[in-house]
Amino acid sequence: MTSATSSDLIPLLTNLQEITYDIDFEQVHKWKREHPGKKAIATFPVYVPHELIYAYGHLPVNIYGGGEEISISHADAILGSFICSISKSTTELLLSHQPFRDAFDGFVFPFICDVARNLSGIFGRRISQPVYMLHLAQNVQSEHSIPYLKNEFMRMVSTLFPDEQLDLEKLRDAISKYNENRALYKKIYELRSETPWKVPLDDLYMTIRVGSNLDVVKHNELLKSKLSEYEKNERPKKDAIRVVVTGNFCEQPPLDIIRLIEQVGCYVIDDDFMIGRRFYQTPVSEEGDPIEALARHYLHEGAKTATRFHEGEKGEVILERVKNANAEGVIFLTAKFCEPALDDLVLQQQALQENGIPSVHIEFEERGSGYENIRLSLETFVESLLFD
Amino acid sequence: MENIVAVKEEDLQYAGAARKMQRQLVRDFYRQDVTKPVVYLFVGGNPAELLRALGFQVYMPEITALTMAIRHQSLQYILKAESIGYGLDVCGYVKTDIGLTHLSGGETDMGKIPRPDLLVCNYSGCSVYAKWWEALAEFYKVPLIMLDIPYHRFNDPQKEDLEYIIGQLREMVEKIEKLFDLTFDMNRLKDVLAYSRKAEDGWGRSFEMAKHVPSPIDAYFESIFYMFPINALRGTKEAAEFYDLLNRELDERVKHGIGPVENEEFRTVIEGVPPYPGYRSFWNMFKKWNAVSVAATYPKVGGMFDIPELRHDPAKPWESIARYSIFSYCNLSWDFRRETIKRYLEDFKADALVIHGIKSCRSFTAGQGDLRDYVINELGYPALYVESDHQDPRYWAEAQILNRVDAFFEALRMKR
Ligand code: SF4
Ligand code: SF4
Repeated sequence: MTSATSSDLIPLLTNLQEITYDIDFEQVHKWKREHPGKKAIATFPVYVPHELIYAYGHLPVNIYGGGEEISISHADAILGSFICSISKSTTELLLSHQPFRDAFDGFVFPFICDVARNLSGIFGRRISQPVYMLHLAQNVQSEHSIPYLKNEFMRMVSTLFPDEQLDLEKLRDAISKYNENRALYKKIYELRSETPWKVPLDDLYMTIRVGSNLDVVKHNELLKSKLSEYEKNERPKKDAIRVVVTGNFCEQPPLDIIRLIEQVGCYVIDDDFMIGRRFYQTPVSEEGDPIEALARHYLHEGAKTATRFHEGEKGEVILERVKNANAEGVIFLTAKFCEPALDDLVLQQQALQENGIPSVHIEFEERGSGYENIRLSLETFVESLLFD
Repeated sequence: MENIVAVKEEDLQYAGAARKMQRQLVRDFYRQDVTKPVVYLFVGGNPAELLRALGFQVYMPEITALTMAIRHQSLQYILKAESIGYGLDVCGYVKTDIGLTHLSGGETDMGKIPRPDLLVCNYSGCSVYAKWWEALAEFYKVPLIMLDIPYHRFNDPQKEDLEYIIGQLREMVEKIEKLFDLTFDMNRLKDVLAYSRKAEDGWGRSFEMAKHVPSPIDAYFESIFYMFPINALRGTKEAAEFYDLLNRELDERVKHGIGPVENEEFRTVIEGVPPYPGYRSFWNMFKKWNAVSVAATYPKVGGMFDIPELRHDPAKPWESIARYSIFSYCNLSWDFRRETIKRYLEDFKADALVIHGIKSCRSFTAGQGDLRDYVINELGYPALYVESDHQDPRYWAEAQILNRVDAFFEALRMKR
């Protein structure tokens, strides 16, 4: 596929925000023009194994709704009132935004929650492209989960690409490229943990998010370039508080809220932003059966988001994250109407409380009307930590 | 029965018999002593037969929660759960259960709800199931077994999905044998399955009865009462006998041409979870228009009891349990749900579809607007969508819903 050169990166670097939030998916259309006969597949959060799609020579694209770029006029009537904004804006894109419909040759909705799962049925009725609801195995203990998941992955690709064969060598190669992608995130996050002032949160966020609609090779080049830029960054160190931000594993908060967190005096050391692209901290095995490697990694190494079953460790997981980040507090930043986030929050907040770690809960929507209340809550939280 | 009309008492041997027995079964259930280990299961696609055969007392907190809501007792427990951090947008069943059993000791005016010794998460149709049980496992410090049921996406369950479920069922049984020092007895399971099948045959037949014109039963508002035995007691002799009695009562109503309203004027299919806090008032809104529900999806939340091939089968114990588990209504793809509604509208000679969406349950509700669009624009039936909640009375806007229902039937009548 594409081999990126540094000159390819110039438009990305200069128009990062515009490209990141482009609901016309111009980057995807461009890629398709450059790769005639190849397909672009949209994947809904949180996690879909992009390696599998990439191995066929197609482009996997994470979609994150329409954010502030689209207003909702039809989706409310389709979905009902008490539904998160990412689902509504994704449905709105489907119903009324032709460049979105045209960009993609297939859609995957993983079973992260009932809404995402049901979206697959709404899409399926309204478009002719294949739509697959990926049932990721929940039972991590069963010996039957790996064979099931392997088969499930294959059902996904054979629905998307019914006439094509999977080449296992190409899959190994895809795994290797995505491993590199994840290793680069890890390095940037490590740098941020050591010297957070060098890595501005909004820039980091968009640098990761823009990869959603790029060929992974190109994104790897971008990450390398950004890493060296961050390393050389001479921004002054601020007297800010180290925090963990959690809960936003699926719907993404508006950029203004992400900026606000840093503006009020926090360094975000660990977060769930774009967690689907950073789902693994360890590399997926490049040896042996690559489909099995993906299945095994999902079951045993995946991020412990609220969108999957993981028993008896909610408190431990958040406490561990706080410890590793050397953080002073936690910001729960959850999408309005997102039940998985709200369910997990209770046990996590309890664990933090028992351990004397302050936290604040903020709900957001894609199209908030001003963020004064959120600013106030964040400022109060920061002040309480500063004067503790 | 609530509404038998224009008949002479002496002609009716079974009038009200099913409702009376159902009430008694509910009373007995909540008053029973706890003599065996207690397992909590979910309603959708559960393996209750296996747990009964293993010697457990089976409880389903969803049923307790709805029972509280219909008795107007849910809000106090919802508020309790909210006081420990459960948000406004969390499913009301979760909050009622946690508020009642974990935070209030399970005491109710019907009896005490015991805490579980074991949690089995039959993950069929609802992602909240996993979250709910994870929390209970932490609160009660009891073992939790995940039983992952793949979502229905293929017309027939695929071999791999069945193998996955059956493999997990066997692992579950082994695990429970060890944890509780119990021995699994296949003959006992077959006996339980035979009772399940008998109950399912009877329950399935009662759905068919609504094809009569006039319908002898309201297949939503009335059938909801009759869901208790199939869901809470499936696999017992009492449940099997209950549906025999129900069918005798329905046969008698057909014989006398009587139904839930005096002059059946409208036949509706109803989709969605009921508004338990406003249940009676909601029903009255339909009775007022002589509207009878002739088919409904909610009575199939446990499983698709109207499809004979999906019934439990002592001759195929593992496979029939696995098949059943995939076909709980909330685990069904929208394709299948749309086809089901279409079938109900046609087969039951319905005039319209009524959809009740609820705040709590995105599993049931997300996409019901799309269904409405499909029914109106592709099938050509009128469809009404109203919204409230199944547990939380704060979302029951009676006047507003009444207006919508009145306007809907007014328009239907005008068109005639
Ligand atoms: S934001 Fe939450 S509720 Fe909405 S689709 Fe994502 S996980 Fe589901
Ligand atoms: S979300 Fe729906 S299916 Fe799930 S527990 Fe609540 S009411 Fe039941």
